[in-house]
Amino acid sequence: MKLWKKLWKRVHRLWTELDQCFPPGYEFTWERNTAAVLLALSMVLSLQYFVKLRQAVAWLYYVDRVHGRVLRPDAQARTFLELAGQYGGLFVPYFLFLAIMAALHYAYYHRDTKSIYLMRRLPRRDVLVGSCIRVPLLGTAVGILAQMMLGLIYYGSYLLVMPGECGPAFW
Amino acid sequence: MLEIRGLNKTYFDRMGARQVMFDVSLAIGPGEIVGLFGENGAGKTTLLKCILGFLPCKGEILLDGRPIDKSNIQRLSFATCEHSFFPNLTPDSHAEFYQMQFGTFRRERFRTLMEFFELPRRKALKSYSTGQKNQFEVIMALCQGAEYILMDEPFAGNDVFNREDFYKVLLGILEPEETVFLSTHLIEEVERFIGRAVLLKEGRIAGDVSTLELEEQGRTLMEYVKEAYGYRADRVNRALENLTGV
Repeated sequence: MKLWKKLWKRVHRLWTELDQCFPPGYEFTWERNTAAVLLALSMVLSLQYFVKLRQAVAWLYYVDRVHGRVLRPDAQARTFLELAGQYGGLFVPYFLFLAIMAALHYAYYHRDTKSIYLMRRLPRRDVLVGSCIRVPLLGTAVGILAQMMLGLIYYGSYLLVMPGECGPAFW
Repeated sequence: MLEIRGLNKTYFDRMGARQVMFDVSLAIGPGEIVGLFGENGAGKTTLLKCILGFLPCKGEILLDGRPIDKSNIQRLSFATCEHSFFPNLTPDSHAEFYQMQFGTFRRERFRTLMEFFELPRRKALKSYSTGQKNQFEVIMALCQGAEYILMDEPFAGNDVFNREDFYKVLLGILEPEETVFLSTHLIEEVERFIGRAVLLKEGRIAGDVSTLELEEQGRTLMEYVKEAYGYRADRVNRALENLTGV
């Protein structure tokens, strides 16, 4: 419980103090929230996989009056990638938004004032590049991590419900 | 010493290639206060931006014999009428940012100047008036801790009293090794504060004179500028005569 509290505190702090990762003075709330909504939406929509998995499993069986649900003799399980592969595409808007974010961050230095002149005069040149791509990179890492986590859950459930006799396979 | 050797700048746009700087050479020593004058489009801003590396150009720009790069860029600061601050941040946040990025930031000077010009330190800069924004822009250029302070029309939009105050403060606070290269149209106003005037005309150096020389010759800076530019004083009278027929 303590560990969870600690972890939650860390995540909350990162969420609220994210301004240090954005360009100085950047109003980042809508961007942060939009990215979070897009990621959440991609994850929720990918849950359709379970419906597809259920249908795929159902196809492997026929119903017998005597024996009930019976595995078809020629039943061949669909591979995991066939079932889940398309859901990776749901994350495309999220990753696209991250790319747009990087462009918006750079454009910020030309908006209202020419703060780009200050950024380009900094002795540490990586400050300018870092302020533009730090959050998109962080977002990409979070997105990939989320995909991997979902992938593991989905693959685990695939192995769990697919009958071994039908040759379940990753691809 | 800031040296510019054989600087050429060409813009490439839809109209084709357009050269705007022609073989400009200039040397500015430490402690000098140099005014950069010229008509609109003469190349003043382009020259400053080339020095700072914002625009690619041909020729050499050296700071104490070394090209300007990330190792010595902090020896230059820049105040521009376009403003280079972050409008959503407060002056105090800027001070923190400068402190973090430039180890040479002059905090005490910053505090003194902010107080002198009565600028609120905890208000976002976007809520400042244009005059206040200009003041803040110059303050940051002066407080960065740079040896060469480049200014491009920094007082556009400030009233005359305010400008007068600034010139005086500038002279009062500058340390012997601090150099100012100031681009402005306010020739008569800055005459008393600069030690040298550089004139640009159509991308070429049209004049380079110390105010001491002018004094010895009994000429004003304005007279020198008019002569260097081939200003025709009778032009206006002739035009009026043509218009009114008198």
